[in-house]
Amino acid sequence: MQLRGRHWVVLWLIAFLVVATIVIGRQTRAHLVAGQLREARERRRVLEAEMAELTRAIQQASSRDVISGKAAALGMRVATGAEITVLPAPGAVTGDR
Amino acid sequence: MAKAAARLGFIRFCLTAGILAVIARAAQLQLVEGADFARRAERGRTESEVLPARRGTIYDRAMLPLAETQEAYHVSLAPEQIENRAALARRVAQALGEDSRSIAARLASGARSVYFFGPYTALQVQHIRSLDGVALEPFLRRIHPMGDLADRTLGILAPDSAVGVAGVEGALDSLLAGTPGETVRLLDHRGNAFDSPARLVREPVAGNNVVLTIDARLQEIAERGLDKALQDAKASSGDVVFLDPATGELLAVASRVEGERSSASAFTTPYEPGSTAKLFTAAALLLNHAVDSNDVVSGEDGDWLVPTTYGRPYHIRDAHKESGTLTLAKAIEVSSNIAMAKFARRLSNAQLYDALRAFGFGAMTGVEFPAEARGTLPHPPSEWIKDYTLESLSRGYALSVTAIQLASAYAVIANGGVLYTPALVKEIRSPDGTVLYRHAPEAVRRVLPESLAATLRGYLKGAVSSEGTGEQGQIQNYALVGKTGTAKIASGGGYGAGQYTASFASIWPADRPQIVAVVKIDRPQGSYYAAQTAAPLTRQLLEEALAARADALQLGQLAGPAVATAASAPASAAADLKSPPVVRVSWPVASRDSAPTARLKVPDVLGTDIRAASSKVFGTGLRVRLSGEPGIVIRTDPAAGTDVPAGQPVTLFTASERTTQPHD
Repeated sequence: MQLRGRHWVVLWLIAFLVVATIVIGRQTRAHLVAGQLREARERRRVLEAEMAELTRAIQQASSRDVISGKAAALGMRVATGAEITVLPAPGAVTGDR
Repeated sequence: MAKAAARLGFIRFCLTAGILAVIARAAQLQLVEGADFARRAERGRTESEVLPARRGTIYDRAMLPLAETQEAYHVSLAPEQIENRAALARRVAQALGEDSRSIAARLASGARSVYFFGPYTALQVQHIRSLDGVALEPFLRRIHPMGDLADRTLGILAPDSAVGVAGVEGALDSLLAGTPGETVRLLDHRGNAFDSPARLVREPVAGNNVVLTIDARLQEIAERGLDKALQDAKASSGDVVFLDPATGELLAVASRVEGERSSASAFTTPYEPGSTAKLFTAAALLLNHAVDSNDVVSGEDGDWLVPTTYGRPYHIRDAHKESGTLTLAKAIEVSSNIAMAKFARRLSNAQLYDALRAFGFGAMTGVEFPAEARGTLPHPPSEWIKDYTLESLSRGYALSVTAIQLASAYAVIANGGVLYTPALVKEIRSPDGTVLYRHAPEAVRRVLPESLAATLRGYLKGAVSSEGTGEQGQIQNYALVGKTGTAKIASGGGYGAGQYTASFASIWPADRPQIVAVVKIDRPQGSYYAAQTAAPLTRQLLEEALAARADALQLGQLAGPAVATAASAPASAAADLKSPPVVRVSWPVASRDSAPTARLKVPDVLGTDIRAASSKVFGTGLRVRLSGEPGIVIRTDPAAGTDVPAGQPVTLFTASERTTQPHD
């Protein structure tokens, strides 16, 4: 069958629609992925902020100011050199650094 | 007819000219000005945005973050876009920790925008970021998760920018800063911007991370101890430096200067070290064979009128009056100004200058800190005053040093004679963790032979003995060696009355040094001698370090009985000049009044954990040996209840609790 003028028009139209559909589909997907990326980054920022907050809280709680204050309240103090004995761990090698 | 033709020709001409004008204008717009118009059109519907790079994190040596960059936000509310203002005010107030009534009032005030500077964290704004009428203005800010710990060493960024201008932030700014990215955002007709994934010009590249040599635990001990000591002594300023003598790594640097929040005086402020520098004169004397162990000079009863060639004698006095003669070792031990000045006269100007220079005085150390001071060391002969400068240098005057320089010089004596460049940076890592740089000890020069360094450590042992000035710095069981210095502070062309710098430079532990500690307190009130201020502070700091979980300390090297105590060392270091004796004391140290033949019963520690068992056996007065896995004690040798001599070792056989549990 020989293609006539109207057939060519239809074929071009179909080709245009296919290409347009692909372009729109890719753009839509790109925006979806961009949204997901944005959300993931946002989640990461929140987690980083949470981690920094927890790190600060841990450091604060384990700081010498806090610990020594609580220890003093319990009647404890930092040991002097005379009261400290460093024991070798079983099997430990104490070589040069 | 001719007229009509002429009119027609004129009309044609006009039309042609008009068409040509239009074509010319179109060509001008398209070809000549086209690019400019295209840019203007692009600007109207897009905007270029710089994506700031995340600045690298600064860690301590155990990877605890000291300074890191975090995204933070300012928040603004647009009342016109908010339907239920009361509800939004409550939610915003809850998220930001503000007062809801105040927010509601501001929303109702008729303002077009209500702004909250904050800054707020991502955690705080996460529940309000998607609400209508809420706009977030993100920015990167520098935070210090461990508070102001080591803040003077870390330095600061310039206000409203991410550029380091002081401290490590300034010195390593180009490494920490990273490279900003760029993106193009689409604008609608109202000017609202939309992200366009296809228009990312350049991703931002985060800065490199820096791992410092600083140990956060030791730093905290140093800062806290220094703060309390300055408060107790009503002193104006002070420094504490802990340095690893084997590598030159700075483990802690604490500085406090009255009225200055950011002064890192340990790096930047030189001072006259006084008697802590006498050891370097001793080193010069030994290096040049100008003195031997038997040479003595008179102590002059503590007051020597120094003869000069220009006829005007002056006094050198000692706080501790010595009526007899002193060897070089004894001069260091009792910190005699007179003896050191007399011994120094055996040196030429150049010999003393060269020795002091070899220890690094008068030159920058090369530590990675901006604005490091070089101190002063007068150059002979032009900068020397005859019969004065040499004698002054011999007792730590006429030169000025920073606490870092002094620690670095004492490290030479601690490590067997090598001067290392002090280091603040242990590693530099790329954002993905790849190590780009790792510090290796940088030897500047060998200053002393090992034998001379050992001799000088022997002198320092005398200085912290019961005869020495630094006895109060001594730590029982884990001995240190060191030297005190109480120097007058120069002001207004002379030395002000009652103004002193008290310092103590020490090497700890004495037998296998891990830390060189320099403690300096300026203008202490009341007891101003270093023996009563800087030396006890050093002992306290090192005892706290011993009891802490400091990453930098090799506690394993302190284990076992091989620790010499100064109490058991000879009182005078003079005897050590040729071969310092090694004194090994077994644990537990028998008290002087305990009978050597006392017999003790081995306690029953079966079934108890290793720590409790060791403590109990030690407490009984016996030594402990361990054998087996960590866990509980399953057997002892000798057995519980056996009579054994005091101090005899008891072997605790241990096993993990898992292996000792009965099977079902």
